[in-house]
Amino acid sequence: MTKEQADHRPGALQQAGINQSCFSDANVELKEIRGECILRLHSLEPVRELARAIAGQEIEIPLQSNQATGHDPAALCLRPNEWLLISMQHDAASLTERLKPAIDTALTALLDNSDGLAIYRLSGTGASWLLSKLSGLDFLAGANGHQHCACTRMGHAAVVVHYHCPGDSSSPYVFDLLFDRSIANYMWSLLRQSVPHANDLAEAFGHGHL
Amino acid sequence: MKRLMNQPNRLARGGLINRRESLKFSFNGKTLGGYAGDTLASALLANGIKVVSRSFKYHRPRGIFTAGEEEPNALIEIGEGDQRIPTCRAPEIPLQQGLVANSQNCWPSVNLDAGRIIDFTHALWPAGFYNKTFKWPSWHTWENLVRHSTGLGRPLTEPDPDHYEQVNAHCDMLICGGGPAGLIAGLTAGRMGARVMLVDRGETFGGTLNWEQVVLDGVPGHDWARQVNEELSTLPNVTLLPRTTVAGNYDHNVTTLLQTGKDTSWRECLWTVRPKNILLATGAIEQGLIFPNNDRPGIMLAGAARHYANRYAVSAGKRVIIATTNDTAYQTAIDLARHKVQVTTIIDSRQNISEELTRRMADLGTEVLPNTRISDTHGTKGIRSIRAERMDGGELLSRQCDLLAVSGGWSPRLHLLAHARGSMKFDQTSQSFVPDRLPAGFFVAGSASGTDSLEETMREGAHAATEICDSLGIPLLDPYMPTVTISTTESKEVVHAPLDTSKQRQWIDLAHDVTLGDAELAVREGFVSVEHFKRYTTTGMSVDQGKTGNLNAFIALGALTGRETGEVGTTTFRPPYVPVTLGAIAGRNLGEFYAPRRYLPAHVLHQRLNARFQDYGWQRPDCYPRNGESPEDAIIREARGVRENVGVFDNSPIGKIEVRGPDAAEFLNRVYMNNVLTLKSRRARYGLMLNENGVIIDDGVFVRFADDHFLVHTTSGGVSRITAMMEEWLQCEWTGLRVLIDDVTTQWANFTVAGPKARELILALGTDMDISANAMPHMAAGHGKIGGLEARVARVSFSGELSFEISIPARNALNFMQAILDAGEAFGIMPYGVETLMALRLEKGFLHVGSDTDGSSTPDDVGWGHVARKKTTDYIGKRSLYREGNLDKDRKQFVGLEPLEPEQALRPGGHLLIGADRQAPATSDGWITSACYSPNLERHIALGMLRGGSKRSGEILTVCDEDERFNVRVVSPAFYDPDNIRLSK
Repeated sequence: MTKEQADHRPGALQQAGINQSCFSDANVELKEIRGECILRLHSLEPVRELARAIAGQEIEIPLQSNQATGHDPAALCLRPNEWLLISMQHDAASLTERLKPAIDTALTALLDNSDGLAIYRLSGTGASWLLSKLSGLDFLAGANGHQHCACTRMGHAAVVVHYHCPGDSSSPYVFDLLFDRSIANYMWSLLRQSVPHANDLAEAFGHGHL
Repeated sequence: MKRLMNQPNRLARGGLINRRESLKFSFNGKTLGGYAGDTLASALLANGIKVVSRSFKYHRPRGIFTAGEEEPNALIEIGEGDQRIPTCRAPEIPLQQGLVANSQNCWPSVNLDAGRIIDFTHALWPAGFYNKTFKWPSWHTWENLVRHSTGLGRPLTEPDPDHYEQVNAHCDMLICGGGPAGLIAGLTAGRMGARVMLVDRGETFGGTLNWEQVVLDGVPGHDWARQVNEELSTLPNVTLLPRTTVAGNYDHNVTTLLQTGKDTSWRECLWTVRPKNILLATGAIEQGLIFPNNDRPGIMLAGAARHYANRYAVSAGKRVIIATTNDTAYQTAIDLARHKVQVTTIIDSRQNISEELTRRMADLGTEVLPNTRISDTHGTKGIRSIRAERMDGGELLSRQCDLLAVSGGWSPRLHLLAHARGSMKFDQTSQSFVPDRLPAGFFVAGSASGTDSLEETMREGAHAATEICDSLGIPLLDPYMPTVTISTTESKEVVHAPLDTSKQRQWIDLAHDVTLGDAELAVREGFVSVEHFKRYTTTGMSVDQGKTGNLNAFIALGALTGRETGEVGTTTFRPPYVPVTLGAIAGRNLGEFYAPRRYLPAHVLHQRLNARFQDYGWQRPDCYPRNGESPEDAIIREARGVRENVGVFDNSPIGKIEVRGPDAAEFLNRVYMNNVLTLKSRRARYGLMLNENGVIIDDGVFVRFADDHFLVHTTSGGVSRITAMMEEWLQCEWTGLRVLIDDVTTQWANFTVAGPKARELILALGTDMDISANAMPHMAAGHGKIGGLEARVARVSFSGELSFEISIPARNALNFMQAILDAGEAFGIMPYGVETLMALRLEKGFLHVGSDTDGSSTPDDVGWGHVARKKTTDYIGKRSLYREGNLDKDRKQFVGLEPLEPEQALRPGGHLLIGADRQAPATSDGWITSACYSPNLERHIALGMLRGGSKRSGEILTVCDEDERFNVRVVSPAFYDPDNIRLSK
């Protein structure tokens, strides 16, 4: 197998035999993000010292659960000693190499999760209602202005939601949904089929700040 | 006038109906007319329909009793065909053009019901009759008859064609009830900027303002409510949910709302709301009165009679008598008089009636009889007359009527408070249970708190909203308070007439046909606790949950046992407040959304290979039939291919958990029954995990890559559960261990290359590892490159063949499997599926946790007891293995089984009976757990659990499999290559 072949990762939907990767209507845009690198950082080291050491590699990791920092890589704190690092520019190997000097490998696991997770990006005025419909978290509180993340469930799926602006700070905020790659089909159908009702809700009750 | 002629009880003026929009509907096949804005109940009353249903037990004719969700009688089936909905409450069904409604629980018709025979023989069927009778020859002789006779509606036989939705929401303040207290609270909090959800069952907000003759700020109540509603709908922070019922309140204030759709693609939507605060502005429910034959059609709550007249312009009768215990029923007389309907008599159980009311009734020409109670009623298909008696022993009176409006006081709707574990206390004045202790974040306002006056109701609503906003740190504004210029009569004091226990047929619970006689019987038999009383009599246990009957039941129980009602207490009100359809609870969790379909990373390739997919938690090939081949033949071909040449199996779903850290070995040594500490690096070991009871919960191979790094394989369906279990032990019990647990199942694809030519195939693919038998023997592991990819390899086997389990990053799954197939072509490679693997492992006698084990299987039972007992250090479940029951030599143990007739097929589930040719009755000594036709042995084989099986080899048993009986021999589970020569090559 060539290196090119080995490095190529098909889309999660493509792997499930679905020839779609984006959907949009007047209120919602949904698309699969491809080519991302996702590392899971899980550590027994004291968090502040670990964060300081990693900051030396010009990567900022948040100290509290549900916080998210950085742009590329973005760091999402899932629980007090566990983070996801997401990058579109770096591959897992180079990001791992960059982080290695900052971590004690006896106490810290740095795992490539790029093949295990999928990401859907959700944007548009109906996005908040769509997420609110599917998840028990409060997506309508109007928390614009800073990126953050949360672990939740949508339907039967465990999902990490990352709220951020993907381009520069002038870009509109979007929701990235990270979930197990094997259920990409389920998540796609769940989101797609929930859009009409979410649009009805947005029309009836406004686009946020319930 | 012609239209009105068709609706004899429709009043000429008034009401909030749209008289310009006539609607036709059918009831029991008869076409009737109504107006937009009517409910089915109001339209039926307008058309002079008295009997709408038959009662649950006695099949007595029943009429409409209330004007709300508390209705115990008018439970109607609406719609036709697969759109039919049984047991709908008529007062809650908005009238629509073409609505089809039918009575239920009657045959052949509601007016002539054969089931009434039960009423005529009622003495035979007291409460709990089924517990005491029908003992000869056995209860089961009668069971079908009794079960056939019970129930109300007919369930649908076809799948529900409707669509249901679900939504989650959050708010600062959830206001339950859009009446005066709820509206003013919503307006107050909404103006201050709080996130408010205002919920009401009705089509329009306003509650009693829509039908009581009140004036606020100089406008009628319903106009004031409309104005407030208009303002609320402009506030972005306020969500208005009409046609919505608050169904239940649960832990952490999670509250469910059931919304009925109107002109929507969905029928119902279940909201799960997490409010910071809840305001109960739910109002109160009027209670009936207990007197002989108090269930006749034409007996209605006084408030309901007023409601139908004021809101729907319907007079439920033309000759009206009122029986009451309080002042509010007088308002009915006043309002009906406005509509030119004469109330002839008011029978009041109280001695003292206010001068003002006495004077007003005199002005209306209404006779008021104080200190009087009803002693009987007459009329079968509708009330015709009543008899009343003075309670001081005076004369017996008789009066003609076609409507008897009754009021036994008002009971605050506090069901949600009960759901939230708030408490209630009995108020002697109002003779009702009112809120006592409120849980944190709970507020009550208006009639729900026992308040009578409209002004006070609104003050309480505004005050609660202000208090909530204050607690949330929201800047306060001066609350707006409307001026109430015309209000209604307040209940003030309620005085019940003493119960006349000489007559038994006085209904306490109309919906479940519970009478005072049943209550007396319950007390006589010692069921004096309110909870026992409820279960014995079944009062309050029908679909209405006793909304109009519970309070009377408590009062009756108190009277019968010489206790105060407060001392009797209440039963426990549990959610939901109203029936919630299963469709709403299921929402979208149907069909493809019932459970996620998980796809293999190489799914597309399996499709190309014509795989037959089955759901094993993942969509996995069970075999790959070729050219019209049957699945059975495909399995035989694949299994032989693996034994003779080589096969490839996509094992990607196998659970993969990385366990790292300085204490990883110690941690796993406590988790596994097997010794982990002695495992060397780059070696694998099969292990069993037990729960605290010593029962096997999972199995698999764990690999040690380094001193502090393990890869734990679990069953594919068990990985989430085992990861969670490990985390729980780590976080809750063994907090000192430094261990990291990461589920990496989907990061890695896994392919098993198995068969005598497996090694040659891998070498043909190209590898930098030494995979010779010496360098990588059975149960060895390593990592290196295979086919140009970084791979983890373990020499483990579930097929009994020389086998390599190769893990590669999942992105390469499709290409890697294709590469294996391409390279394997020269070796006669065969892709094989799960069912083929099951046949191979069964030939080998390998245990499959979940198939061969159940919730009681221990290591001893499956032949691993010697390993468990050899381990000296502690592990989960060890202690339990030494319990007496687990040491019993006669426990069911893992065995092999072969039929005496080789052609005889075996199936899992067949019971094992002692001895050959055994016939029933016989005790089951065990059962078959796995069975298949062995492609390589060319006969049927099975595994099973057999009592004391380890010592019964060679014994002949009878298999009892439904109607089949045949003989099997107990043998060793290892049917194929018992000396493990093939897998050790």
